[in-house]
Amino acid sequence: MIRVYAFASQLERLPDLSGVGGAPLEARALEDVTAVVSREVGPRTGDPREDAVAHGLVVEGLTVLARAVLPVRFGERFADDSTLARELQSRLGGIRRALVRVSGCVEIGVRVAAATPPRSAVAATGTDYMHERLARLAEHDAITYELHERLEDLSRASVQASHGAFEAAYLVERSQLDVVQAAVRRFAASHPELTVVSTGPWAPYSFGGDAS
Amino acid sequence: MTVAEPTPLQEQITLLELVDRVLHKGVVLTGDIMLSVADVDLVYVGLRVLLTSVATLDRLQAEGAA
Repeated sequence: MIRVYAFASQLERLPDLSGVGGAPLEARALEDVTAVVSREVGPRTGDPREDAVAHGLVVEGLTVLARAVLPVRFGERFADDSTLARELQSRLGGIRRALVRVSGCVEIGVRVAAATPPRSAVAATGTDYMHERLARLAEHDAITYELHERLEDLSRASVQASHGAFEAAYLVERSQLDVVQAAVRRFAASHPELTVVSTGPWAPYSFGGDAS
Repeated sequence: MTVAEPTPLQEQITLLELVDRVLHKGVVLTGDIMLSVADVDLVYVGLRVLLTSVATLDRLQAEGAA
């Protein structure tokens, strides 16, 4: 089986890392796009978490060695080289467009957990409780929207999860990284009641777009 | 929130975010990956630990502010 880690453009060299299960990394070029892969025999029986981390480390290792890197979801495997080549050929346009879009960029992840209500705010009735809850959610949305707008202005693209607490990813040019991180820190400092978790810089996992 | 050397908690969050990204994001090629039962468990364990971590972070911040 051939396991795929990422696509890259203008890859200088492979990182000094092993792939999943210690398999050596290999590069497969198709026109101007390089697929980074490893070979494995039979199904993986190890800890899937370790395998997922190994996959992630390869992707992160590539980001400093290529002009653009497009991470592939963990677990994508092909029976052999010719199957992979066919798949690649049929998607080359989308992969190339996505590589151009993320070129020179990293991804920053931001999560904001809502403040827990003060203990004194015990609602008298179920209706009161729901009203209070809705008001809190609306306030949380308004506050996080302010952060989102600011970060969106500083980013090339963004995606926001549409469920529960605020969770978003921003595609940020490397030159803007400090500015974005400073904006998150300022937001966190001015809202001590919220828990703000910012991670990255990551490879642009959330911006595969029409390559998917 | 002050930003200093990564704490074990921050490292744990980073690791979970990495796993979350490689499992759920990234380009989908075949679209028919069968995540094993272990993988599904892994995702849920990850989410729970992250939620716990955020709660812990909350508590630590509250204690720090007090």
